[in-house]
Amino acid sequence: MRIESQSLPSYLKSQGVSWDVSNTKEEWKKILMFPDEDWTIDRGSAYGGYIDSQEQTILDPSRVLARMLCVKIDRALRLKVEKLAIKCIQGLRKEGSYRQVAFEEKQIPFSWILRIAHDGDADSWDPGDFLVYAKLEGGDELKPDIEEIRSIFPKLFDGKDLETSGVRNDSVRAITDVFNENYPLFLERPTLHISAPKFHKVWSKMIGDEDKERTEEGEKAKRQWSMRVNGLFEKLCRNSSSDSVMLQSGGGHVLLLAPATDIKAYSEDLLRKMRQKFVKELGGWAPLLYASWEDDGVAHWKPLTRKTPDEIIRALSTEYDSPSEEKKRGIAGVHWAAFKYGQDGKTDDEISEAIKEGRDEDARFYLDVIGLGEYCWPKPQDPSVDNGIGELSGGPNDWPDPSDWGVPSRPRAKAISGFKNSRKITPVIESTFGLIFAKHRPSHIEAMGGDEMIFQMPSSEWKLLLERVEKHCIQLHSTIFDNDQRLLWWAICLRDRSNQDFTAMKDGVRTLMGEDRVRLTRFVNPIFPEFLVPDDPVDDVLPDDPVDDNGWLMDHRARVLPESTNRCPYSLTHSLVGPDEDGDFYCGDCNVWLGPVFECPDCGLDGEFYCEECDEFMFPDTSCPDCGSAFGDWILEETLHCHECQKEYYGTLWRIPPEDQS
Amino acid sequence: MKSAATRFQALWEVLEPPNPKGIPAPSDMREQLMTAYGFPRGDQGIDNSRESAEEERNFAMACLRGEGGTEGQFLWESNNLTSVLASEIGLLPPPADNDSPMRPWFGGDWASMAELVIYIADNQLSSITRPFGRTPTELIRVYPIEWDTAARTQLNLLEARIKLGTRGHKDILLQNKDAKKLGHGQPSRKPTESEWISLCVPIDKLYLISNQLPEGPQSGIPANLWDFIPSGEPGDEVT
Repeated sequence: MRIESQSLPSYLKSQGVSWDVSNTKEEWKKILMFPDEDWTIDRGSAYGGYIDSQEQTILDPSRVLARMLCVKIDRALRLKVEKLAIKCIQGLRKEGSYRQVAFEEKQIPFSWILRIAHDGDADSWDPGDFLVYAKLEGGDELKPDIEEIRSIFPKLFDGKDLETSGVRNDSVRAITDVFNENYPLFLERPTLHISAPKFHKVWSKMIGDEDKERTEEGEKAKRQWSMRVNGLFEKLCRNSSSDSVMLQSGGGHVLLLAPATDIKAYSEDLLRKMRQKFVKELGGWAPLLYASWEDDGVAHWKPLTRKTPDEIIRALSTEYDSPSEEKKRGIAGVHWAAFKYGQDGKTDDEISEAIKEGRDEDARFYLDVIGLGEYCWPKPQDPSVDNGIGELSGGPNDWPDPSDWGVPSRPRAKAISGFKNSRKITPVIESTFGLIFAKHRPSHIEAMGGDEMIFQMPSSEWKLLLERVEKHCIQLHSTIFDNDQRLLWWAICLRDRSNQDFTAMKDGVRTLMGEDRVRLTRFVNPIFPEFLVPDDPVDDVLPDDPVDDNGWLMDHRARVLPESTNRCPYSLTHSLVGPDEDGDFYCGDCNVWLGPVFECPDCGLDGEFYCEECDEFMFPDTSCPDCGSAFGDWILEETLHCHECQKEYYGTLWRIPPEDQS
Repeated sequence: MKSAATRFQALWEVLEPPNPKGIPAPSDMREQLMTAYGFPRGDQGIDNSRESAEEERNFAMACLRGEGGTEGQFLWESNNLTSVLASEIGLLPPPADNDSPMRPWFGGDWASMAELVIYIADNQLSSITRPFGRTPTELIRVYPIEWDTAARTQLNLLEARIKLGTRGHKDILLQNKDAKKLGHGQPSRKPTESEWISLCVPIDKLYLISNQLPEGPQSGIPANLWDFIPSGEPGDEVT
């Protein structure tokens, strides 16, 4: 079985779902309304030894394939929906409504209309009618999918006419009516974006101790929370907003069609209710919650009072280690086994053997989406229109209280656009994770959050993994994901290393691979761990490190740069931040202290250095390794120049005490 | 830097040597491959030493193992094939005077390039004489092109003739896409004014795309999976 929307009916069949006619219709309604995070199929008695894990929702293939189908339907019906919307708007204008309708509102996913209709009357539409409509109005793209559904669930189509096109077809007419009746409601009522934002930052702020976060227990707790938060968030949002229509949910974001009431008061009340439910569910704490609507928003956050960070970490870490959670993570592999499908990818046999180097031990693999937040929720180009606090600098203890971070608000059209983007990319992400389960059968899943998967498998599968993800992405971009090809995934293979923070590395690579520098047509961008280790610069230039008056070795960490590249020795950045109030400079990318006061902004004194360890003033009393001239003039231009030969250096000076010199 | 056409030809000949009976010397392959990628950029010569071949092999193998090399190998020009591999990965900075972004010939398929580098290095280190086994059309994603403007343009499709070096040409259909705004007061450039295109897969793997489409190749390559190179001179952006 292939991982594509056409496999959905046969997959459902293979899982032994025991749906009668009524169940079948209800489940297909849920499928066509873009299933929520917690939708999972009842696998009945065919579920073997996993009967206790029925409720698991980690990456159920039925949900992933269903979402793929919905996105395919969106794409095929896009023009049709726009036409229906325009006609509807014209009708409203005739009735005296002059509300400006944005382009994004004219191209809404059909599933939103189905959800609005379903919310008003659960029997207002029939899934068979919608499938017939999709087949007849969606063009050639959808025909194979609908035919496949018909061959396996024929009762859905009983009495339906699959040939007659246009309004002479009862199904087409019925679904057109559903659109016309419910689209005005969509335009009339406010949309409300609810989220549990800034996952990493909120976690860090809440724990308040970076060392604690990095312990094994701390990391497990965060992983557990990352796997749990989205489903729980969606459930609590639904339970707190019965008077709204949940148009879409996924990835820790929910779009509600709220009642036409005081939206601010409604939002505050909703967040309060959600927080109470979180506190009850989690035993005393809740994440930061946001609600935003047309150009405004509110946040809800309270610092920890009932629980200590240690208690939170212990509870989540224990939950992570529990047999039931272990089983949930493992069972995803069982579900995806049906998608193994053939053998692909090839590597020269000799190279394959050489790669293994006689061993093929498990390594830890990371796969995460590049710039998912920016893709769905881009920052406004004009920061003055953003209520958000922007980038938080320093450590968690330097950050203000999350309630002061500000809620980034968006115009309604931008929020709709974000949810449409999220909806398109979610099946891409989830099906790629499914692909890893199906094809690579990881021995251990460490984490699987919204955009990230950490797993273990033989290190020799690195290349095959990349090839398979590439191929899968090509297929998805040909069918359901119509955005331009781009570098979509970071991939990392770690052998014998536990370093997990690649943030600075990613930022640096992103800068180096800017569109103004290079255009690539692959989807996966590798991060090589060895790349984290800078070259040993001392070997390159300075054969004899000079010694200062006290016998301290002046370790230059300097080298001649090719061309006129200026950058921090520990990062890939070309930018420099500073001077700060002490006259110090920092790497603009990784924030490493670069030490030297290149030029005092007040007196113009240049070339001062400070010891990284003790902050003691140090004068650059060494000389250019090339021409022997003293380094008297250090010129600020993010580069150090020898004033005689004009050769360029970068670097910081460390003084190494005699006893530490090897 | 030599013209894009010359560099394309050099790459083609590495992957499909003109004399099918003989395998070129590793030093010739190295030189041609470096030429294809615009190296050397300065006056330095190409290092054909055994040590250099070992470095190339080790670097390529380390990348295939997921380990990679040092910052220097990725970021700084060298006088051997490590720079070619770093270019295909996309990390080696473009030449200082480049106005346009670089487009590696394999579109960033660094794993295939790593295998090619290992092949060339092994040829030198072990004196092996087996063929590489992969053809240009299985690897190259940037091609010179001619547009058949007289052909059909209905259904928003463009017909393009991909020039395949010594193998003649292949006609493909592409779903039309918008003209590109080049900025700096330059006029927009339409796809059919370009002389090079970039595909998301090599020519021989277009089936990965067309198999997904309702009418196969007749549906045309979706607009999100190909790009035209808008520079004034053909191939300015290539490699």
